[in-house]
Amino acid sequence: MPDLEQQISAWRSQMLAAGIQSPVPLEELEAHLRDEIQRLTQSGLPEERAFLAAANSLGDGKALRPEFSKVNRRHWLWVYRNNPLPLKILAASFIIAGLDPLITAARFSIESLFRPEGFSFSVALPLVVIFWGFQILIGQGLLRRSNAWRRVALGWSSLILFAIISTSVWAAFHTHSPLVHVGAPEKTDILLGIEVPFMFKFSLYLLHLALMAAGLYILNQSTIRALFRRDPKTKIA
Amino acid sequence: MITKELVAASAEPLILSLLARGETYGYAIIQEIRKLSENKIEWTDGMLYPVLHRLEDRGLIKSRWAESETGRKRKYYSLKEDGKKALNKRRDQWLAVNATLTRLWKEKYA
Repeated sequence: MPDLEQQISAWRSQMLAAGIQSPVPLEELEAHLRDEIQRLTQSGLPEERAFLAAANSLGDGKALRPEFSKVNRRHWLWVYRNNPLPLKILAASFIIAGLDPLITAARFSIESLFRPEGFSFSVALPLVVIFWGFQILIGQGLLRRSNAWRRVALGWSSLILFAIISTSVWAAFHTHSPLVHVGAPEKTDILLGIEVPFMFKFSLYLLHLALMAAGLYILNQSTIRALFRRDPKTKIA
Repeated sequence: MITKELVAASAEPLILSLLARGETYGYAIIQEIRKLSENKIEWTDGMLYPVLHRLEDRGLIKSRWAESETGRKRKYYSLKEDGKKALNKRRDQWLAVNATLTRLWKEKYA
């Protein structure tokens, strides 16, 4: 007959294998398990059966894991929950930081696709503005909370984002692109009076995009959650 | 047996109300709820913890590790100021539902 500590350590490895993480929440679950075992043995149950009953009432690791990961997924955003305003401002500043290279890139890239001068800015800007407008409205829940609306807006705006990013990446790499054609940069660019390799500037641009995506992600947490949330009604979590 | 849906809906107000009495830990919460509900509210024990973590995550409750009288480590939870406010809101909602049902049933069985 295995002794209690062996049983518990086997239980721990099962939980870990099921994706329950240590120390949080595994240590807490183990404390619970030990409390229950103690109560059952005090009421006269043999240790081994007490362990089985306690483990059973605590629940299966595979069923528990998704409940915990729902919490953990949001966990790093605790700042957002506790201080929504500062973080929103931060997110907005990321977005503003990203707007400049995005608009520039969109302008050049769309221009390169549709040649005629003047098309670029007047089309790209409203597209970008509508895109962000939608995203922010959805993210803030100001738009009517109807699923169809959200799906259309989100799908539409991701399409635009995809178009802008793909054409701007194309434009940045393509030798005949207006990025090279219109602007000064061939292989180098002047930044604060220093000659900077074009690729360095391009990676700065990518960094901008990444920051903007982070901002967007933060603003849209609720949207993303609303879209992908499974129906939680059947569990107490 | 209370339906899963109702158990799910009542979990947070029950936990908040229990914590309003004072600091306690997961296992004791399960025991106390079981006792108070006369075994009618049955939770899968492990499912309590995600709820506690979520409430903590939302800033309604806080936790700390401490040693119990038996020398074992336990995580104790207590209500924060925001949790008290949330509890009051929940309380009003539950009382409203309860009052409505009571009035309806009075009509029917009076």
